[in-house]
Amino acid sequence: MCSSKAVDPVTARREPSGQASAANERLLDVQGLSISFRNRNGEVAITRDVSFFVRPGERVGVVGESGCGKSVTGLSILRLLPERSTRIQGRILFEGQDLVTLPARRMRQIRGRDISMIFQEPMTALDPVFTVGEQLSEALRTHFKMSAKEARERGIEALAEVGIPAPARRYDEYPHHFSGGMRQRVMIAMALICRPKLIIADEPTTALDVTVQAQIMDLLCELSESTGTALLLITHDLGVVAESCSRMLTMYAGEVVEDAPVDDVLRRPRHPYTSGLLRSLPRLSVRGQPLPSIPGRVPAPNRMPVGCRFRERCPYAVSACEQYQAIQPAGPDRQARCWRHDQLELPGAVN
Amino acid sequence: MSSNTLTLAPGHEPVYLRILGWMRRDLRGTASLLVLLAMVAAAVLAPWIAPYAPADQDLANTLAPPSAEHWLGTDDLGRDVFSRLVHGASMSIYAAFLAVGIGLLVGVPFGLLAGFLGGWVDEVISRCIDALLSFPAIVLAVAVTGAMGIGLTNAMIAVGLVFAPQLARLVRARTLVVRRELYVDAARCFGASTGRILVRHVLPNAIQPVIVQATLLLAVALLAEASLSFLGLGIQPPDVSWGAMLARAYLYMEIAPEQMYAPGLMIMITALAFNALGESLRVALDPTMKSR
Repeated sequence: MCSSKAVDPVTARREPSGQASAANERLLDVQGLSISFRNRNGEVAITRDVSFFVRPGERVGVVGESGCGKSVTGLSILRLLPERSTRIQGRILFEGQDLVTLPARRMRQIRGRDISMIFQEPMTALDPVFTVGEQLSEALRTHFKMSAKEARERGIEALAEVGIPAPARRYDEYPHHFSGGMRQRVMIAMALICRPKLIIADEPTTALDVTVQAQIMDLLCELSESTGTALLLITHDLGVVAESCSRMLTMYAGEVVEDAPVDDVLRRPRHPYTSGLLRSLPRLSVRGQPLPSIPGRVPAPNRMPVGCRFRERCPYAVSACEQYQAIQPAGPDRQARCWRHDQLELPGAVN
Repeated sequence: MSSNTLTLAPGHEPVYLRILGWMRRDLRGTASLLVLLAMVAAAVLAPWIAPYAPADQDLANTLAPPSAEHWLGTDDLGRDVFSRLVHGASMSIYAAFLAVGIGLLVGVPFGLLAGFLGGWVDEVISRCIDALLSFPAIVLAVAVTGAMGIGLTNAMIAVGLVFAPQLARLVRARTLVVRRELYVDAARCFGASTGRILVRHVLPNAIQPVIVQATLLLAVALLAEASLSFLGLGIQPPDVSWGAMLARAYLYMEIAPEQMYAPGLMIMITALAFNALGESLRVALDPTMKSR
């Protein structure tokens, strides 16, 4: 797009300065992130010692039950948590700069331009009083000097890119003229319009119809592929992660319990919780049997058990699990927070 | 809704066609707008429309009934009622817009800040609003006028300050709702600053009920002007406003009741037009009520 222009302000900064970007370069590197919320009764720890990284252009899925701290972690990267009542420890390195301590002005420059976000609710994420085009061009012109006319052209291109028919006409319509799936396409167009290096998608398809879900996920992966944008996909849906991500991060009770390449973890998970999640996926091949499930529920943040946090629900728990569990290497490029990871032969989703 | 507006997407028809389309769809709004434009025209062109100067006296002919010479009769000092009505339009309209303008200028920012920032800022502003609302409006206006000096402008500033807490409270309530909307978070995560979010996203979404309320208050301001002028705190002779005319006519109600009709009717028509326009604006400003 815009090949006739001599220097394109949006894509120019994406040209790699030195092509020496090694495969193990880290775009986002979260180190020991602990987030707690203050309320009237004191402080509640939401996540503890969360560490993970995302390589440039990589797609990483974050899975876990509700209340495991997935969304909070996602929001904390863009610093969208209420500052007054949140305490953040640890570091969130993005291209080497720590987002936790970055001044608000610099943080604003990063939001939308280098990291953007797609929310779960496309119905309410667009401002009802402005046309879709006005919002698209606003996202663009916040970060780049450009004429209204050029922003319009790019906005229309962006709508075409996400597969919206008649983009030039749709550009001037209001969000209520769009269906849920179409709005999520608009959100993706907005998230991509500045060509960010990382997109955080917090359950981007949960609020959509099943058929539309697949379309949106395909679109997101396709665009992440073609633009080289890394994707941090927060979801309940293990199937989506299996299809679209190269690495899966399992979170439980505010901790990362497993971090592994998707292909490996599907075949042989190293943490009983991941195994439980994978086994509770409905399968068409097995009929007439009750669906396996994990008994119990995630402990409340103020009532975390000592030792392994999954212990009470774990079928493999032994007395040694009452010790604090550190995350430890469990094979090539993978980690698990379970001391028995190499003793156990845990079932996965595929054989 | 005509068939040709259905086929055209918004933004693609020329402006005059859109205005024409709106006028055809919203007759009430068009009518009220025309009435108000006529009022403004009368106010501007008063010296050419009015047959007499507003203070010209015909002392042989006081409290006269309507005649060919004096279309609406004369008042107790022999002044031509029609001429005074035309000249009074400018003062009355000025007074109404000044009061509401002050109210908006003071009330909206405070309401916005209270609602958006919350915490102790909200606490302080809200308690001030409560304190101001606990005064009877007219007492507050009298006190402010007393402190600032008598005169129409000061009186209307006072009325504006009476309006401000109502408007602030309205804006605050809407802002509380709007600031939790996902699109506010979304705007933030696309790099918008707090100020920009307030002005671009929160204000336009919170302002709709305020616009309607402001048009209602224009009508109230007209009446407040009348009350304060009646009490001698507002407009000072020889200037004239509808409220002052009504106040004066009231004194001669038993002798010449028809004196009150003309200014009273003007106040009523104008107030009605303001209200109708407010309702039309509300509909026009709500994008979800726009036809495709």
